[in-house]
Amino acid sequence: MTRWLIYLQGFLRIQIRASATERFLNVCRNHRMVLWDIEKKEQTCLLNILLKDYLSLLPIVRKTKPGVVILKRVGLPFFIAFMRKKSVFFSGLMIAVAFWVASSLFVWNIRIEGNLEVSTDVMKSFLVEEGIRIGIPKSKVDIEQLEKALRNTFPQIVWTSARMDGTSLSIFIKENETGEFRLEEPFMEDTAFDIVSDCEGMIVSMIVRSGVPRVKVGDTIKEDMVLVEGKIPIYQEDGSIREYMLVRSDADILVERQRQFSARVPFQYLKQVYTGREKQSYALRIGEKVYFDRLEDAFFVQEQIVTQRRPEVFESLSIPIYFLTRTQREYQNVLETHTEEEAGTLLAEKLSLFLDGLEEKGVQIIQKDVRIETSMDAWVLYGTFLVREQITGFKIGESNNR
Amino acid sequence: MKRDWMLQKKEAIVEELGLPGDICLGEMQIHLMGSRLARVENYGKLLAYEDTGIVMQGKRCKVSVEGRGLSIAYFTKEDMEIRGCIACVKYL
Repeated sequence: MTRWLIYLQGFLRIQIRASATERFLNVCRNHRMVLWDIEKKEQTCLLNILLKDYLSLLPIVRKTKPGVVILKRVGLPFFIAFMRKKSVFFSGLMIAVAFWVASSLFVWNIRIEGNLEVSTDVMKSFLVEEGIRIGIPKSKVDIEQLEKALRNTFPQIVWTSARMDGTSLSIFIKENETGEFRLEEPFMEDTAFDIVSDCEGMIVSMIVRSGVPRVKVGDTIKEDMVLVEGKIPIYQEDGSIREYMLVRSDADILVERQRQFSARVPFQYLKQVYTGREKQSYALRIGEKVYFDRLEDAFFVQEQIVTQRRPEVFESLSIPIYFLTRTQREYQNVLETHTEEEAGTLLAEKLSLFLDGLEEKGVQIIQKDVRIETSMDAWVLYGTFLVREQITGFKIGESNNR
Repeated sequence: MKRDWMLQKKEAIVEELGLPGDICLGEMQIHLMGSRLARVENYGKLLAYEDTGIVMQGKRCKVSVEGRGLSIAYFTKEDMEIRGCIACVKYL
């Protein structure tokens, strides 16, 4: 503590002649000056003295003639004097510090993770509607309200978590993976919900947990047919129906049905052949505004790729300053013809994508019948698949009267 | 002689009343901490300062602190602190 007080006042390390040491020290002592770290060298004596005491040394110096030489200046007064000479540097430093401090009070980055069905653009549009965008003060972000609004607006989202990491707003979501979708209307106590088929087929398995089944295993069903009714009759002693209990039907129903698929690859197609000529330009993006951007096309037919990168400092601080690189590459459209082998490969890729999609949804493929035919101008793949899949359709029952 | 008699009387009164001697009689106080540090209070002035010996004037006597590598840690109106390798303290 004493060291800090001394630093704040400022002190000097001075050297005096050895012959004048005792007299000088006694006179300083009589003037109530504090001296410290006094060391005797051969011809000199070194000591520390406070700046304010040094400034009142003049009469003492005249009296004792010690031959004072200043060796070192330490303390805040000297630092301030030094700063005055480098005022531009230090004002720049102060402005930079103020900038970092001020910018840490705003949201400069919004990160969304975990979204599959709900695209990032849709999420960002939703956030803008909620008043959350890059550049808003952190104090205006209500995390709880945001999480609630996300769950209410997107039925696919089953879990959401939002938090502020420095100047970055991170939103993590988890979507419903089973493929079932939530009812558009909230579950109401006096409402019956029926399970309705969304396709034609034959029932191969049925486990009913709630509701009255209207079909059984082996039945052939049509689209929009009620499979499980949410209206359970309650009978009186004489066998007549006293009232109906309205429930939300719950059942696992597996249906065997046919799915069709077709894909097309034309004989001729336009192939992009690059000429090798390209041009690059650079721009600066701050927030949503772009500066020094070259907007005109360099070539008649071209492909344009814009990459943006953020310097590492801004990356850690999440300030939206990006350097854009715009690359324009010239190409020519050349008419090419697919060989039979190429067409087969492309069709196989499309078929594979379709089958992967079915697999993700948990659809079991029992039989497949795939053939490739040629039409006037293309190869066409037709596929018929016998599949087993879950019924997922719900709707509000027609009669909700008790 | 008169002075010595007065001093003796004063000492007797101070001792009888149990008053602190350093304040009432202005005696120099020396606190030694091992052989590395000595704190001196109530001294008059510095008579000599070398790295092998420091001589101070008290009210009635002189005190010499001798040793090697002696330096003064701080030097104020009230007290001072001597550091170094202290060999002996002499009353001159």
